Amino acid sequence: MVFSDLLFLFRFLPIVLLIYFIAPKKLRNGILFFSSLVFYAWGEPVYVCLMLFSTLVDYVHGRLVYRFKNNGELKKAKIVVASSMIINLGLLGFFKYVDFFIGSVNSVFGNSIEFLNVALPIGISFYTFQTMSYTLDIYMNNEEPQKNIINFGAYVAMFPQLIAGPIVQYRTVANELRSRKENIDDFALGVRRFILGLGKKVLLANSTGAVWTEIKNLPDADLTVAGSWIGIICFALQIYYDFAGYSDMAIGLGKMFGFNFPVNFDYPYLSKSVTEFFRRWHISLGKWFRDYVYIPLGGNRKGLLKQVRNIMIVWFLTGFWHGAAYNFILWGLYFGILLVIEKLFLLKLLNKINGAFAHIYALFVVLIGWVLFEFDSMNAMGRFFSCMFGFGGFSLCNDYTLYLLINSAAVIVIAAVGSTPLPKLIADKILMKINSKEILSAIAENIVLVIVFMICLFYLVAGSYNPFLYFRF
Amino acid sequence: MKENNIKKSKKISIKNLVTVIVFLILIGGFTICSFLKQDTDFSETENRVLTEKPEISAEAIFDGTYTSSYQEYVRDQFPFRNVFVALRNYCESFLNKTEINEVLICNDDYYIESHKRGNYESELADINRLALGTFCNRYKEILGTEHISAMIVPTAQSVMTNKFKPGMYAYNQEEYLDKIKETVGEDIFINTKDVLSEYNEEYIYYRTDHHWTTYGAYIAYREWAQKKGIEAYDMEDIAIREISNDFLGTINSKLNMSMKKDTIVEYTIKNVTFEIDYNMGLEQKDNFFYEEYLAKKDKYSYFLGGNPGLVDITSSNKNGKTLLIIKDSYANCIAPVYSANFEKTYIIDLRFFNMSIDSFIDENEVTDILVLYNADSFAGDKYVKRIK
Repeated sequence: MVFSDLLFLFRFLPIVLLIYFIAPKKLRNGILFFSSLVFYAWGEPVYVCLMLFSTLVDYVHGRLVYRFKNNGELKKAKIVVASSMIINLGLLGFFKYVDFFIGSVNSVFGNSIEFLNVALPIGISFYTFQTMSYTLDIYMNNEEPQKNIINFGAYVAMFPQLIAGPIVQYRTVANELRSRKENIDDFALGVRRFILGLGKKVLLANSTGAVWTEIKNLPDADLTVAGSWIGIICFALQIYYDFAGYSDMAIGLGKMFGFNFPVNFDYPYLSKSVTEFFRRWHISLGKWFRDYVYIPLGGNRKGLLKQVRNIMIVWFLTGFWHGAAYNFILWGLYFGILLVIEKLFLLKLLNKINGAFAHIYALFVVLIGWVLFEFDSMNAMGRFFSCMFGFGGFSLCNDYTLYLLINSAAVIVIAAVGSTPLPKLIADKILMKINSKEILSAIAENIVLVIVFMICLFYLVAGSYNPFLYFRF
Repeated sequence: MKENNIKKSKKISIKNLVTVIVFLILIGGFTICSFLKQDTDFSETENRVLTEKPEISAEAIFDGTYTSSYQEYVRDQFPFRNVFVALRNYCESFLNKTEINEVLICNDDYYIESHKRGNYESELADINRLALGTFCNRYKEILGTEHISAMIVPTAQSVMTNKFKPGMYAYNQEEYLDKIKETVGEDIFINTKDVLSEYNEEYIYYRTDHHWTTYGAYIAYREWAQKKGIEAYDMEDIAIREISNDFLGTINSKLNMSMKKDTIVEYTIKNVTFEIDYNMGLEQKDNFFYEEYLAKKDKYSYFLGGNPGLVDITSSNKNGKTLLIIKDSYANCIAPVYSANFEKTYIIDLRFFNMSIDSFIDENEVTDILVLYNADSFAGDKYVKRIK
């Protein structure tokens, strides 16, 4: 199930909210756990067992690690941690990467091992990372394990963040799992965040995505240089709104149930360097790799050479995490190299020059990155790159491109402005002015929310065009 | 910040309370409506059967079909569905979009479907073009060049460009039509693009449907007659009757927005009578028309009653000639006029006709052949290649 679906909004969510808030407090984690299983099983009736298995594995491993560590048996604790890693990464490796490895082996050695055609279980990249963080936190940070398996299950399977993050580290919600106070104010905050997230996904991501899909599939005769740039800008907006919208919905739902999930996006397209971009983009994933890969490898404390090595390892893995294909590895390495270059000298330079130039640089390299990210066929990627940079005999612009631009200009402008803090600043200013009159501000803000929700509803009813990009990962 | 929180905790903010209540009413209200609403079996605007509530079984749950069809069911049966689809499209046009769902919103209340280049440069489009070429070549030898015609008609997107708003663009089907012309030969291909474009200030395509009007079809008929040396019926020979003025066609269904209604007109030739047999004895009539469709959404089916596989027409014009029309629905409205020029006319729709075309032509002593499709359906039809 996904949030931007009528089934979720008008069946699942109201029913779960009803049961959850009727039930006494001590049953609530159980309700959350069980409804999350239904949520997951709706799309993956068999793979839900896989998630339960991963849950059980880390529940047991977590307790063992804690016991061994407290008894001073560090070696045993290490072995248990290793076992958890092997099982989780083994699951991920098999279900996500096995066909990729078979394909690679075949192309290198010329064998013809048959593909297993394993279907990727939804959200596996997210929940395996969460369960691993749990065991690692106990080992590395002396977190206390969760004794109650229902509570632990509620953490792993929690439907708001189950299939596309944010990746919630166990320690951030440990207290809330034990005791939390759901209240009207938090619920209202959650509603606001959820509806705005829904709008980002249904209105902005899907509209910019439609433009990109059209441009991406244009035959040579119709594609132009200008069109390719419009297209990749639309993709940049689509992927941002798709993912940030989903994160907002997750955070909003979490708030309704009394949880505080970490922020995942912080206006990434404002960045003036790649370093800054990834401080603002998919923050929870970056933090995961920093805490569990980069820092354990030595981070920046063991000299420049080691640091460069560590950055490249982290970015190879980050790229590969996004998908079992070469273009994702390429995408990761591309940013790894840029980050190293920035670390070595470019960042100092970028700080000195005019901010506008730094901004243009960052957007440019990020857009190039999105081309790497989007095309898993190297031929298609090559064709698109040569079009963007005026090779391959594509015309500069044509009537079709102009019409596409006219037709989608409003959407692109709204989406572009919406990716900056400007709308929020304006809204805050207006609210400040009328804040003295509480009734007025209550009416104004709620009318906006209802309008956004209703427009989303029109689009959801009208469109079957509703794929979630982040399902592949 | 902290101070703020303390203030808030003293009393619940009205704003937040309203937000929560409004949200619960929205999701709860539509949920209840959606449960209470009676299921609709068939959507006339979409011309399809809507998903019914699936039945639960262990098997259906484990293979995922139950959950996916339930999802489909909620979507299909959602309350106010048609209204919401329309509202979505109004939102789109509010954002200055003039192409929605591959429909161009043009001037003078015209709504024109815009099919992209890909449809015409597909493998199927090529297969169909070559199949038509082979077919025409074969019968050119047997019947003579002047007795075979291929009329592939551009749709409104390449003719009614005068109705486009500034900057509007649609793929020009002429590129594809030119390729067809080259394949079948200039003598056989009937160029309707130029003559239709000359008339594009007139009512030659429906504003809300993907078909041409009877008048548009008649203009193309005259072009064909002139090229083939046949004496075309003049307007004076034709009885023109308006049979509906509240037609909202397939393009209307795509957008569901409020549109100016279309008028359907029927052409019959005065002083010619017919005996018509539909689908090999299934039904006999003395005319081409099915009144019952005028009360339905799909009013264009007034002509020939939809798309019968085979229509066998005998006219009172005893000139000994036999015409075979291989066609899509573009031919339906003008069939009464073509048929009046021949003693026998057979109309075949390949989608619903299973016999061998060659033996049919042979057995029925066909003297003339007309292949009539619109460019869009010709490029995308899976059955055209059967004429090869």
